[in-house]
Amino acid sequence: MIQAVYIMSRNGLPIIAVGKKAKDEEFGEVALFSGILSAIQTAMQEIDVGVPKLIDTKKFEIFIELEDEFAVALVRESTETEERDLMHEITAGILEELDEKYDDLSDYNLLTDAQLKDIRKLITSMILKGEKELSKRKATKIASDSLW
Amino acid sequence: MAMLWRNKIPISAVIYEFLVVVALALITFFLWKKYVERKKKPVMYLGLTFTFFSVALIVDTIGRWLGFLIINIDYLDKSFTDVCTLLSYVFLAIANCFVIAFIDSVFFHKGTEFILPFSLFNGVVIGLIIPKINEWVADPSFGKLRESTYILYYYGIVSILSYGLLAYFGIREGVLNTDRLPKVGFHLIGTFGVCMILMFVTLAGDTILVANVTAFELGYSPLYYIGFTLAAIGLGLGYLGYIMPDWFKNIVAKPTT
Repeated sequence: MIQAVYIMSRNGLPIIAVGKKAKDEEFGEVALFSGILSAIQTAMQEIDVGVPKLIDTKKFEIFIELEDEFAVALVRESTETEERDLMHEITAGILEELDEKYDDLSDYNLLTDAQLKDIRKLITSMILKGEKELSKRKATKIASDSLW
Repeated sequence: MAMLWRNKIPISAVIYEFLVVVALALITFFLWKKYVERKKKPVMYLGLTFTFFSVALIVDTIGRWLGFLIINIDYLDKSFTDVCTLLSYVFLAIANCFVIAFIDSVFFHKGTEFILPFSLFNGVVIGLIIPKINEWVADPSFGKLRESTYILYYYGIVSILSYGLLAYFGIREGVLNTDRLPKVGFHLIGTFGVCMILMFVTLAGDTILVANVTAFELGYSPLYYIGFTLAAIGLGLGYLGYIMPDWFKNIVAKPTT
């Protein structure tokens, strides 16, 4: 299950966080998470191993997609490791949609309340769509392996 | 018409139920064969569902045969049929628990937090039936058990809920899928659930008719036959959806021109 989606600027400032996990977090925690992700990306770029697209911890899997001005991080529990391609697709889809619809997403302060609300709505609907697709693929795989 | 009835049981009911039992036993056999081949949990749950379903219907059919065949006048007023029907609900309630386990293993993935409440609802059915069977042992007069129709209504609601979930998830996944094989497979699983729901509704309707309409006071209203016809249709769909024999797979996989 997708726990949260974080939108952050490339220098690690949080822009928006949506989802079950993000709901329980305070701003400080979101900022810390965004900062750490940004630091990891920068460090890996510095040592020339490339920007990570997936960070796998004992508790979570974090899928990352980058754009020039902002980044999208999708977090899910690491108990589910199947359909990573789909998770990358969802993360990339959110990045693409936001990039298309919003010219300046790099700074939280430049967004109006209405825009923030719209972004939340868009991300929530994409999370739901992704969850539905994930459940469909899971059910199809189980039924095909067991019955057909 | 009188020729077709014996000991308050029509021969059509005896034959009809027997045919459904044979169909059910065949599907159960194929499911366990599939389980031996693939060793997958969902197939095991289905196998258990159909096994308990079969046992339930076998018990019910035996009751019907006993009632129909026993000539000894002392036994005429003992409603073997009714007590066997009630006993069959015990096995059907167990079958319901495995339907829920199947739904969880394929669609829901919530584990005990989803399976346990449904198992408890079904456990209540068993808890309500056992004392009634004890009552029958003390006083096996015909029609006595028909006073406990509330158990059947409760069981009907629990079953409709269980098979309703199967129908919902099956049809939902069928609609979401674009590949032909899973699309057809899920639709068949969903439609099997719908047939089971309709079967429970019609059999509950039969119970209501029998309790309230003088013409049907001996039982076996048209709804009884409709119910078993729906069960037979459901089993046919279940065979195609769960077993999916090669000939059917070939038809489904064939591209449409």
